Amino acid sequence: MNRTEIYNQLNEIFRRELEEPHIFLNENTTAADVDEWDSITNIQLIVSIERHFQVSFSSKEIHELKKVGDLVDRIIEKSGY
Amino acid sequence: MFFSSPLFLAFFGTLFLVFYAIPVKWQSAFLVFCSLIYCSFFGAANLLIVACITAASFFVSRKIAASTRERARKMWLRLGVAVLVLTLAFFKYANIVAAELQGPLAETVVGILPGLKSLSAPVGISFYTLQALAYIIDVYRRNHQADDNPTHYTFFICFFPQIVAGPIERYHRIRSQLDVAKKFNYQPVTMGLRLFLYGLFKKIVVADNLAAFTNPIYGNLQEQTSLAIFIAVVLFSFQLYFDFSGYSDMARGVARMLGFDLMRNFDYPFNSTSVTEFWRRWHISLSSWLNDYIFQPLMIALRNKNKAGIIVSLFITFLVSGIWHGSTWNFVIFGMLHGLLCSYEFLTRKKRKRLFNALPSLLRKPVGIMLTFGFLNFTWIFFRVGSVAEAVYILQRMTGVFYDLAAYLTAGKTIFDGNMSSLNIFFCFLFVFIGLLLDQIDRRYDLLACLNQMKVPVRWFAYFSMCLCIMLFSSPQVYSFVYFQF
Repeated sequence: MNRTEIYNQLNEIFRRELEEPHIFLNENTTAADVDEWDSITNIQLIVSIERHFQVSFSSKEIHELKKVGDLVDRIIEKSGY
Repeated sequence: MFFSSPLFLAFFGTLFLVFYAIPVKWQSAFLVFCSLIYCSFFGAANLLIVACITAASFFVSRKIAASTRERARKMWLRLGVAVLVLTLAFFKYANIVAAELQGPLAETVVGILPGLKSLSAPVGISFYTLQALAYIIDVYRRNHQADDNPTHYTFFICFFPQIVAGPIERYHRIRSQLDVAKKFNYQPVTMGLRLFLYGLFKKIVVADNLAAFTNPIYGNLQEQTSLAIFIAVVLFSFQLYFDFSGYSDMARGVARMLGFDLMRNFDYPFNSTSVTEFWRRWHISLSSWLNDYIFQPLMIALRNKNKAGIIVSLFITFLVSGIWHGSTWNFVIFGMLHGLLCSYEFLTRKKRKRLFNALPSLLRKPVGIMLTFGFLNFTWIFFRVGSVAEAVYILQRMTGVFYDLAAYLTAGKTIFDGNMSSLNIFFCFLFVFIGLLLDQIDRRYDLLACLNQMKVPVRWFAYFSMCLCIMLFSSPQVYSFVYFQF
């Protein structure tokens, strides 16, 4: 799976969890850019992403995620795509 | 020494002149010195406690940074957190626990610490202890390095505009500003003055006039009509907002005049369409602290419990928030009520979104705002009173509001006792209206920046009008800031 495919799947997860059909994530997207993305939905997104990509993040790794690009890097690193 | 007192104005005026006259390299040390003098105005014990907390957290942060093994780092973190939390708990709650003790245990405790029952919390301890906690946790998380300069760290903890009631600052925001040389610059200084003036207006014209109305009613509930109590409950919500946001504006204004930018504490909270949104807009420095150091770590740890994990995290966070405000049961209930409603909002988020989308677009926001405001009024009853029994009494009296209103409209029955008149209440609502109007103009157009763009005569007319308002309409009695008690 390449980065584009990961972004496509992340878009699907974000749209489903946040019920916002017009979300288009990019490398620099942060929680501040998406209306429904707050601290609670953030953790629901993390759980969905962990289940979907079959990866597990540590607390420290979750704290260090600042933008979607960081998340994609971690998914690639953990899943070996 | 409140910001509106002549003593503070004399203190700050002198400090301001000296600050810009001395060489830049001495400015930080000078502000630390002045901040410690400011602390000492609240008593020598206050100064000693703030010095101990500063020294202890600085020492622990150096130890965390110097430890190479994870186990040692964690041990120093736990020790630091324990010392800070226990110190805070002792000064805030020991007197209440001592008063509750009975029998031989009470005698032993009073024998060892005779002054325990009358112990009062040092001014600002709830605020600067949270700053110190955030600092050592961030050093442990490697979010930033441990400062090796005691002057810089003392400045972060003790900077006088925010030490008494916040905003609860973060180290990285303050530290980066310390590196910028502070030379007199007309624009930030005048912007700071405007912010201070605006905050002063909110505090002594709006909040203090409302306090003059709500305090006698809350102080003598039995003698009041239900309608008067209801009006006091609603007006207290506005009083609390204008009091605390007025204080925050003054603190930010003072800091801005010295070249420092403190974080915003309020983001027009009465525009919130849900309680969850309210907590993103109200006392932002505290809610973001609770989010970063309690809610997020709990939620991450419990994320595999699905929704139950989130609800438990919400409840614990709001419980801590309630206890932080005060140790009596009414504050615990205040926190739990917010935890309950945020949990409800979380569980029904999608359904509520669909329901709101089904409403005509013109109604969506007003309905959300009114429902949120109604809930806030209800919970602030628990915040304002001295005990749960008083809150229950107020809620019982609410059933008589419509009867009193009907009696007032049909039989001309009086609403207030002899000390209040309908003119008082008219002025209270007028001040609330003006305050909210200015707030909404600020939200849409950035009031103070707009003022800055205007021509000199218009600008000075605005300053003159505000000063005149302050002189003519300020409450005859100055009330201390509500959040000073925390």
